[in-house]
Amino acid sequence: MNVRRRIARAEAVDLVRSGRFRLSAAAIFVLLASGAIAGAWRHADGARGTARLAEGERERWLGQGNKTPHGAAHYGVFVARPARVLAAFDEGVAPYAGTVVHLEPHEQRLFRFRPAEDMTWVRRLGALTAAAALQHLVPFLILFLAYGAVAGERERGTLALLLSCGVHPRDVALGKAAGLALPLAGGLLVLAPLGAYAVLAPNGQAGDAGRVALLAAAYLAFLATWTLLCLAVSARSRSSRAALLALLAHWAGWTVAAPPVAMEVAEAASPAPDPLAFRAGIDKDRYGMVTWYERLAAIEKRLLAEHGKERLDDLPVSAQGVGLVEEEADQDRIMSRHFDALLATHERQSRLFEWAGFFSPVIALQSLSASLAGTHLLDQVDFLRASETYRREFVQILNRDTALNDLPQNRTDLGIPGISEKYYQPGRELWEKVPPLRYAGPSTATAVGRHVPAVLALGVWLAGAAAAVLTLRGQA
Amino acid sequence: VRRLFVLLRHQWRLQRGTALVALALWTLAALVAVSLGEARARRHAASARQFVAGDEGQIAHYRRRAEAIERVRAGGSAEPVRLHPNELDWGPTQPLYVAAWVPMKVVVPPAPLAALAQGEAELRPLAYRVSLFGPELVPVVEPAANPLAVTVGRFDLALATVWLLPVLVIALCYGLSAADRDAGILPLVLSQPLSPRALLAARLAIPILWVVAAVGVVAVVTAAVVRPEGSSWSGRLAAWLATSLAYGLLWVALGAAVDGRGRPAAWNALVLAGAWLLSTWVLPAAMQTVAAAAHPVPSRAVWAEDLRVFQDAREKGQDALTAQAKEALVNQLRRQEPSLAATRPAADTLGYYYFTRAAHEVAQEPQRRRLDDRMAAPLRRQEALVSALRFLSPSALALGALTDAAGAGRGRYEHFLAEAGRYDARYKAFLWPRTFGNALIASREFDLIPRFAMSEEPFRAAWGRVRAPLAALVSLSVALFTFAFAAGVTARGRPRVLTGERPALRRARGTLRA
Repeated sequence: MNVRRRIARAEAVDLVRSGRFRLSAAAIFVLLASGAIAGAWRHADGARGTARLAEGERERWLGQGNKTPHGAAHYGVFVARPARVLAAFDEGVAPYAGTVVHLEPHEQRLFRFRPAEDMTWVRRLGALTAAAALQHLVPFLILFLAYGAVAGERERGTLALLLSCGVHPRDVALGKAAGLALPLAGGLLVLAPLGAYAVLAPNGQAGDAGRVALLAAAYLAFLATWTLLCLAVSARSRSSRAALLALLAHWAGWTVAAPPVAMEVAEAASPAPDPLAFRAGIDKDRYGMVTWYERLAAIEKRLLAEHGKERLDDLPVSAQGVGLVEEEADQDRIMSRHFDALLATHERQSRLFEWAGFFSPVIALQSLSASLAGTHLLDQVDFLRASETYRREFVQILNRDTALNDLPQNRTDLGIPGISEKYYQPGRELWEKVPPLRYAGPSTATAVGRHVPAVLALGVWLAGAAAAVLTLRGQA
Repeated sequence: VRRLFVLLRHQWRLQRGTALVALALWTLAALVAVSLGEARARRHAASARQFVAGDEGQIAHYRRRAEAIERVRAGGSAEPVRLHPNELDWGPTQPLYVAAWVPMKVVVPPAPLAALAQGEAELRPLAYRVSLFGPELVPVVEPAANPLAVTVGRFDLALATVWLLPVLVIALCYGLSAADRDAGILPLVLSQPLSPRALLAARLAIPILWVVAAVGVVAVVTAAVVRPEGSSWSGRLAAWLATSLAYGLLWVALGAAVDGRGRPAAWNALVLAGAWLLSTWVLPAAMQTVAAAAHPVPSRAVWAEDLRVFQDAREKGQDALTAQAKEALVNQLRRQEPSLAATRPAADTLGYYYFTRAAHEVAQEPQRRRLDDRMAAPLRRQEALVSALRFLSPSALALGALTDAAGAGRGRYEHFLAEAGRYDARYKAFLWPRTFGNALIASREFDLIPRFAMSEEPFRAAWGRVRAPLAALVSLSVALFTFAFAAGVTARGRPRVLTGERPALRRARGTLRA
């Protein structure tokens, strides 16, 4: 143990004194801090906008005055997905998924207003977030520092000297790993304010402290895996050049090549429809539905027979209102068929992608990190489902009210020249019956529990890397 | 020349293994990327046709109902169509009903070289509906791709070129002379009667020829796999190949320049990998962050809120219009839109009500545009800043040029929106006089309702966006090659730089001082 500590201290002191470490580490930690600051700023701006929209929408909904319930339903409601503070650390799929949904009758919708629409094309090459810096840049820094840690000693002839003193190769590698970790850990403290902000922010959510701790554990496991692998490769390579090339190939393969390739495989295994074909499929089903006038004629006939009346005006319910209720239920079934299939496909693709974490620990980390930050695809899908349930309820509250109250005695003039027909136009009393959407999001246990493959993959990688170092023998 | 040939042959023997493996990898990557891209482009084209055909089917459905209404009005029977009595007053012979229910949409056609670059295709709406009143286009088909796939990045030829091509070039270039230096045989090589320029040229010949071959592979794969759309694809493909060639050669030049520093091969590999990371990820990400910080775009939630406030105020404003104000607005719109010159509905008709509504919305358009501009103006400024900053990153330059060459960038999308705007004007010119004049639409007129067909963006417009980054890539390559050759010439008089003796001396002096 003493030997490891000495090697660690020597390595750490060497690193801290080294100009190349100071320069490269400073550059990377500045980028890391910039990513954290930019993320916090984006999150704060987004949270302010979301809160303002939610408040404004409720006021407008209640204050829209007297109008037909179906008109009010088409005026609709914008709902915005509340973001966790940790989204400042890892924005996950949020820039490409959007945050706002407009809810109105007849239509289930995906998110609108993807933040990426309001960014420049250069974003396609990558985004500067704290999570991305930790996933891509810090491993590159570790590689840069570690490729020659053992192989370099061998080339200089100092390794033989060290081993001749009775030091085990495993202790050399572990000591060097600890020596690398100490200055890096110091650098990673730049993220501490962001962690504190996530826990203490006034708009923080329950469980954020636990999520911060789990995120820290996941990233530490990933960085430890990479550090140990670098040292194992360095110890087992013939030269530092060979070690460097092998590590660069792994780094590029894991961080750059593996994610898009894994995603393509996932999409090929579980293909989703093209957006236009998806829309055309919905339209085809809707065009195939009984038309409004055919439905209305059938309902009028049925209601007159059920109530034994001759005239529509004598009915105790509104045929138009009943028609709206039934038509909406039919439309909901069509929407469910298409959207449930689409979202299930996205979920399947996401799970298949996650299994690729056994080939690249970066993929496992990305899945877990986004989930803990509340920006994973499954978080978006959760909110879409919750908002859709809410949409159906709010539209049918209005339709049922129309069915019960759109009666001749309740109708008033529309006030539009050329339209003599009278309409049922309720006011605030009805609008208040529609509650605002309340959404809490998945718990921390759910956030981790539905990413078991990612957790397992990270564990397997860490164990494998540790084994690669602990089994070092004479080859070092 | 003979010595140069011998040297070239020797260099080929040394590097052919790496070069062939790299070329096989590149061919595989290009084949996979182009095949995936072509499959996506075909799917999109087929879906667009299916989508338009579905709408045409619906138009035919309303036309049949309109014919039935006409038969009933003429005293005949609606059969085989079953009509509801209300349909005679509010049905497909009313222009406003047609505007609300008969779908007239504009669909984004696939880019001419969509198979090569995905670009921004998964970020923007794919179809819009034109509106009877305001000039805004209403999105009806939002992107529905898995956001995770878009976040991760599509494996298309543009990204393969920007990411993978440099990696393979680096694998060929990092040890140009450093490998000999590390092995201690560089002084021996230099003792041959060869100029440093000839030596460097021979060393660079294989990577340069490799890049040419890689671009050739792209041309062959594209010709074999892709069925391009539109007429401008050949020019676009030429621009694509030129950009790929310039970008590949730039990395060869960088490899030569780094190698000229006289450091070990491992150091060269690390520096080149660092430059790759800087160019492909760090600088583009930093550019976006700087642009967003310098010209922040307000949150879309705030924009949605402001849009709602504006729309409510517009509606209330219309309700509060006096008769004189309505007449003034109607006259103003009549002057703007020649098709309305003869449309003079009575003030107590529904047509007049909608005439005033349209006129009011058109009059309010500058205010709505100002609202849109609160989002669009900072984004335009961001784009301008990034356009200036992109010259810092060859990868950003290449990606922008490749995306524009393929027609998958914002430039072509704006061309589509402009075309859609012109279509919107034709649609209104058809429907406005009928709606505001309280006229009916005859069933035979359904075929006269304008349909959207985009005329493809001409190649010269795309070339205007591609030529600056291409020129920058070529200039940078020339500068780096010049630097590399200059380092070689200097080395002739000072072989210690190439032999690595100076760093060894420096180390020795450092040790002595210590």
